[in-house]
Formats: sequence, structure tokens, C-alpha cells
Amino acid sequence: MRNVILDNLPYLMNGLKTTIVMSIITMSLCLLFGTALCALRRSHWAVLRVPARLYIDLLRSTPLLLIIFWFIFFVPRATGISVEPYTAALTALVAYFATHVAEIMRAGIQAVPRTQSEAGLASGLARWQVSAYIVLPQAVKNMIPALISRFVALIMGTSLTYIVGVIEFFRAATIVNNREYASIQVFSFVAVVYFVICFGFSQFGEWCRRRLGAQALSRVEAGLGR
Amino acid sequence: MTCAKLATYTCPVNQTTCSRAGSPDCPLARPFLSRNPGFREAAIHYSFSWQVLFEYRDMLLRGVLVTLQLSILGFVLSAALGIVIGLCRLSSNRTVSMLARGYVEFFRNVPLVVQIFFLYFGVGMGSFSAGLLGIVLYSAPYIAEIIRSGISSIPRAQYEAAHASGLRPLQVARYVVLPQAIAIVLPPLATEGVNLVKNTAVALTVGVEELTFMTQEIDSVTFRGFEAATAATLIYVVLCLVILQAVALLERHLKFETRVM
Repeated sequence: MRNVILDNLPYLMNGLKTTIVMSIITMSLCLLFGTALCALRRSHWAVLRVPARLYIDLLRSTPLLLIIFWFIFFVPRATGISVEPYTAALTALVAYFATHVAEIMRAGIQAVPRTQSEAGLASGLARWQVSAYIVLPQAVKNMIPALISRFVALIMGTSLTYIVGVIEFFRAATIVNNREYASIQVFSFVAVVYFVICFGFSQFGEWCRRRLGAQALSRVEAGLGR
Repeated sequence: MTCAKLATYTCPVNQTTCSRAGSPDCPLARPFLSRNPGFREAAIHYSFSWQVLFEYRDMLLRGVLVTLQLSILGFVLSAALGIVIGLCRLSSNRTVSMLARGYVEFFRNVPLVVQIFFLYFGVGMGSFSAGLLGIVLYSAPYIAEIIRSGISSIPRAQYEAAHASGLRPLQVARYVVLPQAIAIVLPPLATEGVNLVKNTAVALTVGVEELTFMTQEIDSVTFRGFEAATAATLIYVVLCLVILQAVALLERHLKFETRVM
């Protein structure tokens, strides 16, 4: 009996490459957009704060699949801008996961005790110095493990972009399956590959958490889901 | 095996049984994008027509009902499984706790859509049951972790005090552990419920006709997907708000009860 997986390995690995590249690009954009969103969300001006909050809450309570559909079908149709499936899927992922990144950043900043910034101000530092030298370093430390776990969620999220025709790892696998009719082998293989990658990153995140002594943002993280 | 299953797929557009089963032309095998050819041409001059929601309210309602069905059944089953796994993880028997940990780590780190495809195409389950079981298997690890951290956050001294004051193990569980554990566990369980409602959308990948699927169906019949998706988004938001509010109320009620006692 020939081995379905080995025969199609180059094709599957090509898909896996797309998944990884896509995840990395999305995560970078999410960090940028998420930082901006977090800044808006924490703004003193309600004009900036309220829309950011509405945006975050809206996207957080909508399924990722529906958001992907929004970006591939409905937004282009209403605005008249046509987009490639890959771009649309990437935009959807960024729009969705940036809200998660923003929430993690907010929680990471909030987890720094107030006394820290009070002590900084009392010792004569300017506000920006308190932020840059006291609050942010500690906040970033708190954020890193949670951001790694978001990256895992993001890798798993890319599997949903198969539905609009992005040939990433999962879509490559369904194409192989349609050709070979070997569902059990193909999908077991897919599950194991995702597991190895995601479990590896999850463990790395946990290691970072212990190593950095970061505060657990578990309450916020639980609400983000996967 | 794939053929036999897809041959029973009734096309929602013209209500005929699909003869292209198993081929790349099959509606389930193709990505949704190619089901809407020409959507780019019509992009210009898109005018909104919200009465389509009223005309197709039956489809939307059917979608909401299936989503609710999946969510409620999924939550009950995954809570049951999650409690069992969570207790197993706390077991002093090493084999049992390692097995439970293995389950948690594996099913947490494999995308839901992969699990559902495995159950549907690999195991050969029906679309609804594959979707439901996938959602249950995927959510149970999170619930197990919530239960585990809820129970293990109760200080040891509590058990010892309860035991010393003459309560039997079952009474310790009922009167000492449970009231405290429930208060800790409820808020994260609610957010897990919200996540579960969102995850039910993934069941559309194997043809479960839930809310997100219906927006695509309304779109392919009327070309009014924008309106349908707006309605669907609002429905999801309302569902999530209702769950969070209901649990907040329940939490307040439970606090009130313990205070009276």
C-alpha cells in the first residue's frame, strides 16, 4: 500500500509554509494595530475611547468565520473594492486578533500595581518617564506569555481561511483528501502537525510565564477563546 | 465513503439532490467564494434593501434555532465531560491524571475545524453530530481547566476544618467545596459559553445549517448577504450579551443566598 501522506508531503509542506508565513505576518500586523487600539481604548477622551471599545466588543462577540465572510464578500461588495482571498482573509484575521492583542495589552498594563507609578511620580519622575521606565517594562513582561498563547490561537485560526480558498495547510490537506479519499490518514496527520506546532508554542509560553514571573492574565485570556 | 455522504446533500438553491458529489464541483468541497461567481461585477452600485431580512426571516430563524441547539447541547455535554476530566486531573492516581492532561493538551491544540472534518469525513458521522461532537471535544478541555483551577483554589485548611468538624466527604463536597467553587467557576464558565456560541459557526464547514451558514444561503439566493450578515452579527452579539448578563444575575443571586445562610 502506498503512503498517502508521504506521496503528498511536498504539497502539504507548501501549505504549512503558507500557514506559518500568514501567521507571522498577521501577528506582526496585530501587534501594530492592537497597540493603537489599546492606546485608543485607554484614551482620556471619550470620542476615541468609546468607538474603540465598541469595535473591540463587537468583534470579540462575532465568530471568526463570520468576520472572514464579512471581509471577503460583504465589505468589498458594499465599497466596490475587490480583494484577493488571501488579502481578505489576512485582513479578517488582523481585525479579529488585534482586538485580542489590545485586550491583553490593557490587562498587562492594569496588572502593574498602582503603587509602582505612584512611587515613580513621588520620586520626581515625569509622567512619560514613569510610563517608559516603570510601567511598560513590567507590563510587557506580563503580556509576553499571553501574546504567545494568542499566536497559538492565531495559527489555529488560519485554518478557517481555507473556506475562502486560501491554500494553507488545512486547505492543502482537504485537497489531498478529495483526490485520495484517505480521510482518516490525512486528517490525523493534519491534527498531529497542528498539535506539535501549537503544543510547542503553548509550552514555550508557559515556560516564559515561569521564567519571567509574569502575572497571570488568565481572566482576560479565558474570555478571548480560540 | 465521502461520495455516499455528499450524495445526500440537497442543494439549498434548487432543492435537487446533488449529483456532483465528491467532485471538486460539489458545494461542500468547494470554498464558498466560488459559489458566488460575479460578485465583483456587482460590487459597484450596491444598494441596501433591508426588507430581505423580513422576507427570509424563516431562514434566519431556522439558523438561530440550530445555533441555539448546538450551543445548548454543546455546553451541557462539554460541561459534563469537562467536569469529569477536571476531576480526573485532580486525581491522586498518576495514570488517570496524566491521561486527563493528555486529553486536555491534545484537544486544545488542534483546530476545531480539523476535529470536525476528522469526525465527518474520517469517522463518517452525520453533519450535525460531527459538528456537535467536535464542539464538545474542543470545549471540554477549557471547562476541565476551569473546574480544576476552581477546586484547587480552595485552601486545604478548609477541607481539614470541615473534616475535623465531623462532616462526611460528601457533606464536605456539598456544603464546603461546592458553594465556594461555584462562585469561582461561574464567571470563566460564562466566557467559555460565549466562546462556545462563537465556535458553533465552524459547524457550517460540514454543512450544518446554522446562523452563519444561513447568511451564505440567503446571499446565494438573493445576493443580499450584507444585510443577512449584519443581522447575524447582531444576533451573535445579543446572544453573547444575554449569556454574560444571565450569569452575572445568577452570580448575584448565589452571593445573596450565601449571605442569608
